[in-house]
Amino acid sequence: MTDPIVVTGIASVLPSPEQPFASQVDPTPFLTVRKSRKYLSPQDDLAVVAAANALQKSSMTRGHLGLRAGLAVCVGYLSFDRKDTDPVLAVSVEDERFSMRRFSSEGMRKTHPLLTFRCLPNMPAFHVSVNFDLRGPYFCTYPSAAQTYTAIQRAIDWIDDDEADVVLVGAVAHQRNFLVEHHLARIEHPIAPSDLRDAGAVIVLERRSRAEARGAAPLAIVERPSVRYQPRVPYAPGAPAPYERWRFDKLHDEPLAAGDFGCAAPLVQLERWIERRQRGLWEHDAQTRDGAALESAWEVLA
Amino acid sequence: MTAGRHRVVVTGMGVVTPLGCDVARFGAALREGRSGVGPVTRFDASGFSTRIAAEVPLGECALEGLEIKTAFAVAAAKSAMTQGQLCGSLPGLDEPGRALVSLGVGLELFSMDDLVASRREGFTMPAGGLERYTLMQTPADLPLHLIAERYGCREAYEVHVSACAAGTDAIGAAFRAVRRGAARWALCGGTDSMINPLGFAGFCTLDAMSRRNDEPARASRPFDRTRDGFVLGEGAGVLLIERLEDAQARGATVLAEILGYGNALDAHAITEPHPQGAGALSAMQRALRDARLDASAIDAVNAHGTSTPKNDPAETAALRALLGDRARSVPVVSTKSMIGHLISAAGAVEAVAAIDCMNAGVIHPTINLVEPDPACDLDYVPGVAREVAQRVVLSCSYGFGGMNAALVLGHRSRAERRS
Repeated sequence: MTDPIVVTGIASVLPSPEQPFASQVDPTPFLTVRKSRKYLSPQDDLAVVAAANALQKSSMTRGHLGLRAGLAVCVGYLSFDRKDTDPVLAVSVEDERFSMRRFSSEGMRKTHPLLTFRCLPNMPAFHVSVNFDLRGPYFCTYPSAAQTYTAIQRAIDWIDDDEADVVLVGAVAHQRNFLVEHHLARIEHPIAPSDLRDAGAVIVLERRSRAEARGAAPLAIVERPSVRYQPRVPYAPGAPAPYERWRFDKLHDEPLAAGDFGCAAPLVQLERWIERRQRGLWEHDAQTRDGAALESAWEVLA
Repeated sequence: MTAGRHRVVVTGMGVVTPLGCDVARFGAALREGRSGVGPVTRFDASGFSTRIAAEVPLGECALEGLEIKTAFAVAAAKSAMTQGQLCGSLPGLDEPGRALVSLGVGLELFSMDDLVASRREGFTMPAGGLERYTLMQTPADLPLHLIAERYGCREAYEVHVSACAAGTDAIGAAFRAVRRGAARWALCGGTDSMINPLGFAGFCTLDAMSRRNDEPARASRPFDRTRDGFVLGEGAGVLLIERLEDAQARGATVLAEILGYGNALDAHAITEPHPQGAGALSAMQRALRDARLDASAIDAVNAHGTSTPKNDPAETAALRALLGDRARSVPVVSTKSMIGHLISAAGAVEAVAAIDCMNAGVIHPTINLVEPDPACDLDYVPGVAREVAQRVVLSCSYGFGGMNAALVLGHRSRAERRS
């Protein structure tokens, strides 16, 4: 390939579960309107901070983006916070049951006025677009690594079809909350809540020629990732056992970072290999519980 | 086809809407200008500031024991497949890895009842099956898996969560996949229902919905000076799309051709669209460029037309900029005036409405447009359907958070003539 699509920026945000989320992930410095901070959910925070750091690594500013900049984002499962639901619930129960009468008279008043903004799954994309001026094509998807792969495929299509010069691909998962913990504990091959990590990651993709013309160093060449899918009823027994593997130069499997990063996992691990600055081919393959088999290859350049 | 660019046609359509659950009845009701809006019956909404919605008559839709958003999508997909008569009709169409499901979906359904129950002493999780999988929270991608499993769709499924633009984006993405040969055929569209206590409460706190509770059928009034917000609807729309040559080879009836798709971000503000509809204009221009047409080809527009104070003038400004001198002579209609806002399903159901109108040679009206807003100065076909020959129609959806998407749809006769 004469002018491959390359990664010119990559960043992940991995707050420690031992400390409060807000003390570790603060998007405020990157917001064009600081008072908009109140609208952001943890998933939005992860997306904005990861995007800011990835753009900085790629030596790009708002001026490089605009109408020719695309955005493809995968978000994790719905992540209500207890601090949003508990006050509503506290006044909406009667005889140990949810009471519509009490909810509509009292509970509704306790519903946080910004709840809708904070739980819509396209909001991470919105906050990235508005704060870094991305006005090109978009793709908002959900909820697991297979869709992160689809987001990467979409970015490659846009560049191949000359719809965008640069694309940010992100994946964000706020998993340390009761609703996601509940879901991932009830499914086949469950994940213990203690293994779940909040994670956000963003990569910047563009043509090698464009990167070099603006003096940016390509970090890795991406080959088109593939997703194979064996459809199945998700609640029927027999879900495939999930696994994820990264192999360097076809020699050996590399140990992965500990914890479950949800839909951000492929990009979180990729950042580790790029940061290691070990030239060579990194191959990823994974199997998801919902029947998707993923394969990709990344040639790390520096 | 040109190299790597198959022509893509619609051969099946299915809907679940407040005006009925089959396409013929839905289309007829639209052309009659009937409203599907009424008092909320799904739960006691007496304490809410808005107490009206456009509900699907559940007795007409087979729920199969599923929660309603999932059931809507499954039912609409079944109708589309039945109309398209695809299964087993052409060797190769069922080869693994070539069929795609692409759906716009809304928020995961979160159950307050289940949350309370789960905190009761002695509560035990259901042992397995659907009951366990959907307790408290139903993953929004459930309908995609069920549809893919039922019809053997093995291309990587696409979940679109771009809010009110999701249904249009899902169709557009599937169209692109079939056009470039990545998928042989696809079921694509959207499904949604937020007519539940928490969904309703969220929109009420935003003060986004009409409070015209005493006259529900008149509450959704796109482009009218007295509009006061949108009416929440629910439902699903699914299209069966495939290559033109496949449809012809198996003798399928072509309903329409999909000619182009584009989307664009506003990057403007969280609570309102760009006042001049900059993102909307970009999306429409990209869709036309994708279709290799210019704006002079457009015979009609199925607008987003939400009936909110800010959407309608912004959308009008974008259409004015796109259509130029023709702006006031191209009919622009809002299906939401009759069925409310179906959120993630809106674009899909409106694409069905647009195709049905094209094939009938009649464009449905925008109802409740009585006092035109001076900022909304296009031909919105107020009140009564109109005979209009439509060869190319633009169908547009604009989502909360600045997501804008547009489809260019062509009359089925284009496919017959150019093939």
